[in-house]
Amino acid sequence: MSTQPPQPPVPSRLASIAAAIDILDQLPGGNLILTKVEYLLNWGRAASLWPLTFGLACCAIEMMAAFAGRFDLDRIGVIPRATPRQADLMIVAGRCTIKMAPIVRRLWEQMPEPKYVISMGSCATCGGPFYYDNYSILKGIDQVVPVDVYVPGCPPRPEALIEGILKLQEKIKVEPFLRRTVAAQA
Amino acid sequence: MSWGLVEELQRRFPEIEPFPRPEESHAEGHGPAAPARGHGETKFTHHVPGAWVPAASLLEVCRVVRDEAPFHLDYCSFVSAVDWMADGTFEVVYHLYSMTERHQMLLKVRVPRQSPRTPSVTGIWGGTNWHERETYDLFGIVFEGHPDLRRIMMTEDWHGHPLRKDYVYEEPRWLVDLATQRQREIEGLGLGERA
Amino acid sequence: MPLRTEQLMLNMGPQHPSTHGVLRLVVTLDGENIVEVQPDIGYLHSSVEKMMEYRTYLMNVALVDRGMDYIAALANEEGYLLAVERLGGIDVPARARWLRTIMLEFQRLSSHLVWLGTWGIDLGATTVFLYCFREREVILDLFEQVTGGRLHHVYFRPGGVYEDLPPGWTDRALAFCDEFPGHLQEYHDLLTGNPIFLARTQGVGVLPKDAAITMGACGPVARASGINFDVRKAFPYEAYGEVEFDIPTFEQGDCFARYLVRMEEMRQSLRIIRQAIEKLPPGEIRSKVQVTVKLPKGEVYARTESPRGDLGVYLVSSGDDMPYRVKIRAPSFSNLYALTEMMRGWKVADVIAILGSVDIVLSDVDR
Repeated sequence: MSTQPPQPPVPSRLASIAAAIDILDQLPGGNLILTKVEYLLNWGRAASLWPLTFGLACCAIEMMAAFAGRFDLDRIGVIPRATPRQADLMIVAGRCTIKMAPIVRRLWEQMPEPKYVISMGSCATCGGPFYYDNYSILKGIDQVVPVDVYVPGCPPRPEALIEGILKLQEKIKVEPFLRRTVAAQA
Repeated sequence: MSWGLVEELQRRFPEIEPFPRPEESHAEGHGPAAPARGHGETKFTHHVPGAWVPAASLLEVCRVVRDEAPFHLDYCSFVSAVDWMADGTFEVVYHLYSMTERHQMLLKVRVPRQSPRTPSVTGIWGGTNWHERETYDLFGIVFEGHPDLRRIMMTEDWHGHPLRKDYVYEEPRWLVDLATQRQREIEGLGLGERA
Repeated sequence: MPLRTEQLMLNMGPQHPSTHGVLRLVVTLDGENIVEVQPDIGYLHSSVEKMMEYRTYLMNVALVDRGMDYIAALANEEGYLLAVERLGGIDVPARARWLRTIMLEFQRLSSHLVWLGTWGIDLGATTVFLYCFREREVILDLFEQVTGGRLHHVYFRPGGVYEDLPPGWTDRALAFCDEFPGHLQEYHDLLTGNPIFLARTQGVGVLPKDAAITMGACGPVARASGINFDVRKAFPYEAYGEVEFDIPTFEQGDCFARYLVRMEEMRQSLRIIRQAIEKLPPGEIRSKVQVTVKLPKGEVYARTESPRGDLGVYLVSSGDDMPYRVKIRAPSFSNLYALTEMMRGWKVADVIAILGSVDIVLSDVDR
């Protein structure tokens, strides 16, 4: 994240909503319109992350628990989608085998831009307990797809996954979204 | 337990070799001589009754233990193998159970490591189909007469049979290429992960 | 011009919202009728059996939690440790045996609740999922107070359990046992009388008794097909020989029977928990076992009744502090093979209903 331009500091959740509403009011007269549209768009994207329900192993059960009543990911705008075409976030929950790796890659390619990946659990992050003496597990999902947020744990508690999603929201909010394609071509 | 069952089986098939019973196995020179395994002096204890069966008479033995009294072993729990690399053999293991008589028995077939072949028992217990495929995949033991002997756990182009003791792991070529390409993308653009 | 028909190959998975994990089903269809279903597994093959050959007996406890059936981690620990303890002649104190029984039955409850919730989603009843996970969180809290973990506990150790119950735990467990039958009634109200649910499950996906035996089906799937076999009764382990419970058995062999078997099993689990808490003896919770315990040479096959069925561990020791070979006889593996028999002749819309009723865990299938 070294080349990102300086961005407004990330406020807390309530303050960010207030700030965004504030921007809506300021829009017609403002002269920093590019940054502010960007901020508005980022706010919109960060507040409605739709993940692909993509459970691989044990972490998927904790992911399900996070979607269920007690932890309730819906309240931060995270609604599971069953198809990659409608999703903008892939939560790789669990260990990924070498046999499964091409499918993970293809699902990631099928997702429309902008897309994000959360690597949930030790196995998806680095192989975890399956690192040594193993012949079939991929040692980290980042060998196949780019990862935005790593959530440690074996398996991470639902709170940890929620924290990972909040971290991703912070990351999205400071992203140079409209200028990103230009930067990539340069 | 059902050690009497094994004796009954040996009366019908003299060529099978029953496991030494647990209490006998401490006494030296009693029972059929089991091949020396490992480096210790203590004998190998079999906690489940059973017998070694020659591969040639496996199908006949299986048919008898499934259909005839007093065996009625109608349920095959699993088929697997053990790699005794020092002896140069694989042991194919069949665990059988009787849903009506409630007794169990192990059958083992010794096959040479160089050319591991044994008849398939899918015609007798249909449920062994996948178990034999798994054993073929992970040990490379060929089950002759199996209807669909393909790899089941690993991909079709996988090299080697992983559960053999002398297996050496080898990363698939495409994975190395993909990971290298991903690494180059990240470094070349200098944009970090979200390039 | 005559109407030409040909068979259609339909691919489901490995990423499919309704498969319980990464399973690929290759369905051959004639119109809407299923001609053949060929499950393609191995997408979660984590080489547990190989890894166990390179780890000590104690380290393997943590591995079987994750590598096998992850919804019922304690049942895996039990299956593996039963083999270790039988082969090594390791004694387990009475209190530890009863504690294990209580934990295993709570594990069965939580596992069945996951099954019921996900199957509810499969059949379009999302409410059941939310209800089931509400009760499951209570069980997980009870687990957490004892073992410190929600999913993976590493609570059973060779020769006993890791820690004793915290103060007041039995009261909380009994309070859960008192309120759970009411919740069970809620699930019945939601599903058992629901005409849509009945239409989708009754008489669907029949597995006849003789086919169930031949295909190697076990656990609730076999019991729904009229096989009265439960390892807890046939080969009693831990304290199961000393508690009273019934084995629910149904003759129909369809999805609805499999559902009823599991619903009744939950009630029986509560019975076992209540008796076990009542009879829980005081005393030691762990016998003295070396950390790097060496087992004598030999082989053993230990069978336990995991929530999915007959979980067997075939353990070969060469006298070392690590196993020479471990074969895990996974119940889901056999049940998934029986699926090919259940699906034949049904409509494509029934695939998910039948698949969900078998209650497979792909980690258990592939290991």
